[in-house]
Amino acid sequence: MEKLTNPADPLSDSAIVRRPSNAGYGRRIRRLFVGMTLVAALAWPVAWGMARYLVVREPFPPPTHTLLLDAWDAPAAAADLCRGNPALRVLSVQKLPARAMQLHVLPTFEEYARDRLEERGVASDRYEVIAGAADSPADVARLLDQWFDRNPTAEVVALSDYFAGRSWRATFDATMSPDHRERIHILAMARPDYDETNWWRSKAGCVDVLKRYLRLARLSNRAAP
Amino acid sequence: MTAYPTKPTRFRRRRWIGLGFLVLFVAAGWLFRSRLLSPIGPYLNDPSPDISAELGFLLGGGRSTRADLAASLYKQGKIQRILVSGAGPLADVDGVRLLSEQQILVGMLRALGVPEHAILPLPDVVSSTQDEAQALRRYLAQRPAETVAVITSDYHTRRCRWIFRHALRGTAVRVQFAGSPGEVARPDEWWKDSEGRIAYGLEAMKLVPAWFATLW
Repeated sequence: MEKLTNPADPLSDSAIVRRPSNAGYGRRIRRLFVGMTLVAALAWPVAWGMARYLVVREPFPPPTHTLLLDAWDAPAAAADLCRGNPALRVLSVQKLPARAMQLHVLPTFEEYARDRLEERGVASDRYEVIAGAADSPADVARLLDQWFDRNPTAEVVALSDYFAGRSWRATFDATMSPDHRERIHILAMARPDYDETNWWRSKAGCVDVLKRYLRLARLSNRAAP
Repeated sequence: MTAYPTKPTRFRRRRWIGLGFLVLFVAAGWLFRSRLLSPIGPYLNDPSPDISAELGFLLGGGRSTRADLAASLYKQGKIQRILVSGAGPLADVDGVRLLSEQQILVGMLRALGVPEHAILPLPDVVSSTQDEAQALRRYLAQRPAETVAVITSDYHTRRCRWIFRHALRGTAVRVQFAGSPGEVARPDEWWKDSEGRIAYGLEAMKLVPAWFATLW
């Protein structure tokens, strides 16, 4: 059935169709202004929240081991933890050495960590290296999973980079058995150069946060075992 | 009189058509991802066909194979000296912070057999490729060279070419670009590897501001 319309009636459909093309600009400008104000007002909380989400500090029972992950000066942080707990042992997973390490321009991380721990009063017999040639976070998680089989009562505090905690947790959840991943507790260590309040002011901070989210996006596709 | 569809009806129809196109677009992108993504790697990888320069300029940033390429070019006689970037704070190499990037690169070149007299540390502290290009311009103003070979990672050569050509405009210097291969992933399969996706993805994003920067 054909619908009847009256162009004289401002509420009719034809009145809407025949509206001048420049009508509504004022409303659009107002909307744009409101939108820009909202973006300006929310930029800081959103940036803060984005970075804050990446920071993981899990509560932990008295640990038996502290694991050196990728925290800023992890050996020094581990030595500080050891000072308050004489029974605490330090653990790291052997990594595939970088090219500069293969050429002996730099010591391997294990040699460096041992020296740093000794400098800070932690005897080398308290430092254990899980042998392997880990080339990725998933390799680290796999080697840790095997280590937990040999150490069934261990409780581990893992010292991670400030923004890496969330991706480490996702990696552990995707790679390790449920019992083992519950016995590893992530402690994100602060960085001296940026944190959640100022990461967007430095190129390194922006790249870091972006990389963490890209890794998280990749890890979110993996199912837990 | 013909009845026009009411505004809400038209809006709803357009919305569904738009949504349909979006779904089709995403599905086509997923189906043809290999064909769509593969050309990005070779596009980013834009080295000069042949290297022959007085001075090689070893850029900081990638510490895995750039020094190997620089040493190899030197030993083949394709470059006479190597200017090394990366002066600045201590670099983090897998958690080890003992030396600056420049000290690491110089140490690697020495370990790879490049003699001391051929290694020239660039004094300027730099934090980006743009900084390195400007530092090279300042260096060449004091110690002129006709040809410079910029040594970097393969996927970094396209952006490098834009930045250095722009920074050195108005000078008589001829710039060549050498890319160290396979630093993170093969250029034609970069999207199959997680490190490759991050490195190539970030590099592709950085092309946009680099292109705008060449406009003025």
